[in-house]
Amino acid sequence: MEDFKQYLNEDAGEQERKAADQVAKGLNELRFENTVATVARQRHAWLQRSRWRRITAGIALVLITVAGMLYFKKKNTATPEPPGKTAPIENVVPPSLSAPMPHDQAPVKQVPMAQRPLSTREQAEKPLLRKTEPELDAVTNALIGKLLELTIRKGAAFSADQQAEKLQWDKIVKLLSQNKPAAAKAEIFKTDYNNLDTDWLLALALLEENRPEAALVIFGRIANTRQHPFGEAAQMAIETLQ
Amino acid sequence: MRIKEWFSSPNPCKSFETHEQLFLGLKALDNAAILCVQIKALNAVRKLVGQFKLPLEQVDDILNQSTLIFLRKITDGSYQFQDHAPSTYLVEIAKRVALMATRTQKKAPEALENHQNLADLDIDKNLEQREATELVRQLLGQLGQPCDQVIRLHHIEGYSDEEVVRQKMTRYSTVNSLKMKRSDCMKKLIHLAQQWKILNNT
Repeated sequence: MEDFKQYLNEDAGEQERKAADQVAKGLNELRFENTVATVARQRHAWLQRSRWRRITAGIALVLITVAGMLYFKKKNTATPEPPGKTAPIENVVPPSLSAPMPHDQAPVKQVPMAQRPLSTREQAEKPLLRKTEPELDAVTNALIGKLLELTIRKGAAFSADQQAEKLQWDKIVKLLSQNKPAAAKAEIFKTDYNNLDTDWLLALALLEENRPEAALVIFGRIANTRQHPFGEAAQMAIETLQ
Repeated sequence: MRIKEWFSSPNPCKSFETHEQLFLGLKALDNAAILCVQIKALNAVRKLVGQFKLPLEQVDDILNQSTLIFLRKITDGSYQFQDHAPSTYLVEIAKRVALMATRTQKKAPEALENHQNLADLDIDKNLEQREATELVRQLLGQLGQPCDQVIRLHHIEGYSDEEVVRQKMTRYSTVNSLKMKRSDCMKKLIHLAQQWKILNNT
């Protein structure tokens, strides 16, 4: 602050000095007010900047946190390779294993599904030899199927000089398999081969005709015949039917 | 540049590492020092305003008034530096200003007599200063331009003569011509004040 005495006249009286003093006080006060007002504006600006800086820092912190979380989440999640980029299997196999095998160790040639032999399970589920007769009960139907199987095996046991008997036998078995007991009976009655077990075939035909009592009589006679090729089968049939 | 300013926001107390440095800054009416002491006292003033149940808008007013009183005390020597934080003294002043504000609002939560230190505010002295301020303001208006501007720039806004000439704030292009004009204007101002005192018998 300037020395106010320089503004006073040389012969300045008491009144003038007091007036100068009051002016100095007033100017000083105005200067304080002006300074405080200027600083108040600076304070507002500073506080506003601080507030925005805090908000910006907060937003930045949230964004960084979210970005970090997404990054780690993505890293932890296994992403499957797109189909086009899957490595070929031969590239994955170690070189020692991909070397050509010796001829005797070559893998078994793949047989087409239609030509492969039947598995045990498939054989067990083999379809019945004959069509199921709806008029017969399930037990009788199953028994006929089983007995027909034995009958077919017997047909395979004919010797080379028994070709005529075999043909006749197969013909009757076929008719029985087709659930044609009447036709089978007609063929049975026509045959005159002595060594052909026509009794057995007739019993089967009677069973298919749903005449178990008549069939049982014949099965009983066969079962009682010594060393009859169907003796055991006849016994089983009797036990099943009774 | 403005965006850079927004984000830089330098700490106003950076230049005042010790209480003494801050006190010297306040004594020199350094804006940075005043801002520093205000920011240090701001939270305490906010609490005071809440404590005295004053409207939050008064925080700024109370802080400004307290600063004004504090600066006066530093200038007239009634506040002497004793190695204490200047902001502590500013908060004490703010407490009394807030109490005065409650009296104005007729909300005094405590009897003002309980605060003996209120006398420190020198209410009479304060009124005398206000009277002088108003007188100078009026007389400056009477003086008109360019005296008003010349006196304001130097005695109120604190510009140096060199700064005023360099920035061409007035029509005076040299420091000497500016000084001569200001001296002339100041004599006129004192003369007007003398006349006013004679007229009002003060």
